[in-house]
Amino acid sequence: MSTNQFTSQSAWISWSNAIEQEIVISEQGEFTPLEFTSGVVNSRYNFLTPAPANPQLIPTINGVYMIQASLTSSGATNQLLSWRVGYGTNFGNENSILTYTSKGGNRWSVNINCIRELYNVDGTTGFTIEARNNDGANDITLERLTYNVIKLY
Amino acid sequence: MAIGDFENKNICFSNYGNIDAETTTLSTPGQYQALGIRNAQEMVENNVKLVNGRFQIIDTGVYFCQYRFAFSGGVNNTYKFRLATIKDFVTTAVPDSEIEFNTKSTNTWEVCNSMFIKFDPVDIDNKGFGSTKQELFAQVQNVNNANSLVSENYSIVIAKII
Repeated sequence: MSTNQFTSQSAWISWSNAIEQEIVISEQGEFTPLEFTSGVVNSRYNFLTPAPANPQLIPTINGVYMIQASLTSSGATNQLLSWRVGYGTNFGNENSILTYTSKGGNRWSVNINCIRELYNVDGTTGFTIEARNNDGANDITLERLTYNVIKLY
Repeated sequence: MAIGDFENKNICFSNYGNIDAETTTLSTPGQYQALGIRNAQEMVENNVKLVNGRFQIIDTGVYFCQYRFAFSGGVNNTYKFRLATIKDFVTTAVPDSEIEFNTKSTNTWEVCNSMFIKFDPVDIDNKGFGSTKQELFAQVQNVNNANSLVSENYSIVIAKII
């Protein structure tokens, strides 16, 4: 059994999606979930083996988790885009939502971070990520995504 | 299953953020000022409170600190950002924490960085009487102009790891 420095059970996952993926925005100002259709687990412990369909980042024990996602997006030229991460459909306090300009529709690398306390891990719900176009209904291209989650306590 | 006893002093972590704009007035080019994040919203906190833009460190150790901001500011202005500590009323920049970025045009730009920072006990009387209490905060400057810097949204994570 691997424990962390506070002698509680460890858990982590590092997951990457290296395939370009289109996020179809059907409505301005509404979040759209990313479907985890492909990806590679770089390292994991106390996370379930990824299923072929989403969700793929499924913790198995309650705890305090630090989430860090790095992604590259493109498209939706000069529009304000937002991203948020959550556990299933629970996105908790929304003050960690990232919003930035997709200047020129170019590839922009951005980051999302937060800490979440999970009291009701059920072995079927996974970590999720959603995108929003604040200025229009133009689709967003997710060029790359690395999603890291580590249990702090 | 309960998560555990967070009240233990050695368990230190917090996450603060805001999706509302906060402005830092930078009237003197090239001069660092405290980043204005006085309206930060607590998302989770245990033994690392953010008070008036300063994280209150109450236990020594190695902390992981990751800050993610989205800034706007003067058109094509260049800004610098660094972390600093206050120990026994003395402010000191965290070595090599300085980053530099440009607010190209009038857009909103994401800026993110992360560091491990070791907090040792502070010898407050130079006679070996120590305190674990110290503060961590962010400073910014406009390198060549006097335009303010606006934190459009941000999320800061800090956690003691050792």
